[in-house]
Amino acid sequence: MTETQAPAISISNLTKFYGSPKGRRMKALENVTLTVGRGEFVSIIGPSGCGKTTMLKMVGGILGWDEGSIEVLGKPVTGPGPERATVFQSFALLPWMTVIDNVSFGLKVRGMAKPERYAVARKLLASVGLADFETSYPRQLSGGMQQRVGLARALAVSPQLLLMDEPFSAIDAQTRLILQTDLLDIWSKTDLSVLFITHAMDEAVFLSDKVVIMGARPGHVTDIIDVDLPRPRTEETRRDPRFVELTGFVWDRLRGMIQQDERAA
Amino acid sequence: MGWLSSLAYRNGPFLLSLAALALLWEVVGRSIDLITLPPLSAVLAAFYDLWASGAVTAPLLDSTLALLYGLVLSLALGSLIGIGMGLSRFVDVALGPYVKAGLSAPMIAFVPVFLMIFGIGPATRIATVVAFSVFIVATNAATAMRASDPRLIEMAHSFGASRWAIFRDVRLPAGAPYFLAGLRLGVARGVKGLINGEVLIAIIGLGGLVKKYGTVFSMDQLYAVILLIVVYAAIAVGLVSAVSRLLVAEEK
Ligand SMILES: Nc1ncnc2c1ncn2[C@@H]1O[C@H](COP(=O)(O)OP(=O)(O)OP(=O)(O)O)[C@@H](O)[C@H]1O
Ligand SMILES: [Mg+2]
Repeated sequence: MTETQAPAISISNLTKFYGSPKGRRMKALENVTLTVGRGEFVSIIGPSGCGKTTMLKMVGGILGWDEGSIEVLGKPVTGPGPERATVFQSFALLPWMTVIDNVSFGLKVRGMAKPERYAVARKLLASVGLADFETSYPRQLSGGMQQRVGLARALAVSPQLLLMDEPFSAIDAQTRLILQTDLLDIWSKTDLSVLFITHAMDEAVFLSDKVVIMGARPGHVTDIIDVDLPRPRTEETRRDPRFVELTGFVWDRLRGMIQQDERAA
Repeated sequence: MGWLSSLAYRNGPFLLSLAALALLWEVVGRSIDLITLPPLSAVLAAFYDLWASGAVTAPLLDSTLALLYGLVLSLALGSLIGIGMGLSRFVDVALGPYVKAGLSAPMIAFVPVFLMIFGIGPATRIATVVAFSVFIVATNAATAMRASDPRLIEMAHSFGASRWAIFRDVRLPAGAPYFLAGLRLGVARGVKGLINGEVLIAIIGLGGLVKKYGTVFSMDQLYAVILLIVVYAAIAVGLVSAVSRLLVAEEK
């Protein structure tokens, strides 16, 4: 396979241990194998503590692993890289910076001069509908708007790969539905590949080409579901019987695991 | 005069207690003929005389210069040590115990040592100010470095930020309030140390005046100088507070 054909993300036989305070090692992930194709939207869903964030951090290059390999666009991951950008559950905006400074943060640390990075940031602020909030501070914005800033910041570095860790879980249910369609809208105009973590079945199915279901103790992949709903996905999609069926299927698989867990506990 | 009346309104209770205290002092000072407690009016008159004659000008200037030099040194040295402690476990374990000891040790005991090393000059007083303020500056600088949200550091790291960029854009602004608190406390301790040291050395600065008037029971002047010192310390700390409020407001 030549490099141009390599998938966006290729994770194989990934195993990760965390050291515990007592010196014993806790296996967080075991033998995880997973591929995200170019331009693909893949969601990961699984019970709390199954290692989703751990995996995303490793793909992002800010956490090491013990066995297996991760390749991004055909190259082994050795650290953070300019072709990847992350959107965080907590938004992770810098409270002492204005919106435009937050959006251009990734460009600043890459050494881009202020006029240039502001120009890029303005374009992205417009694309997420926040053109009028350049000089606001994060705390003056609602949660949904703050995460739009987080998304603009990630897109500003022109990544090929977007890593999203429960980006909408801290946002109210209605705003969340709007952010989902806006995200798909932006994604469809680019060739971005997305790895998206969520706890919401409907969100995973609505957004994705593929839904990866994980189990815990240690974290492992249990199912990979192809979502054969047509695109573009619209509000109609949410009422599509196939949407309801797929969401139900994901829930069945998760419910089984969670009940097993509760019995074990 | 809007700001003046609003100042008076906000500080009303304080002005009231101040007036009551002044009145009490005057009444007690007049009714009991104690040499150790002259009435306030006599003290204020002495204060005016001292000020007008220029007897306090030189000591005030000397003390202020020593304070400024000492504080700048403390700020530089304390920040360096504190930032090192906050960022590196090794530095923390290596230097932490000295900083903790220095924070609670009676630094006044070192003044005679400084006197022997540096002689009766500005260096001794500068060293005294440093000894009193450097440890609190270092402690707060270390706290400032640890105050940043690990999720923000992780974010910066994920965008490929260098250690320096993380320091400049995340750790420093997140820690600014702690730095400034350290500076404020450092000024308060520095003033205290300086005056204590001067009283001990007995011939220089404002502390020297305390000693001078104290030994000859020149109570009016003694109280006048003490009053000056109290006001001086309050102004120094108030100045730093105002500046730090401005800085923090700016970045928020
Ligand atoms: N830094 C760490 N040190 C030790 N153990 C950790 C660390 N981070 C995570 N863990 C453990 O590893 C496991 C996986 O954690 P992770 O945060 O990846 O789960 P998650 O799937 O993202 O959970 P959630 O859905 O709650 O976000 C958990 O048991 C967690 O307690
Ligand atoms: Mg998580």
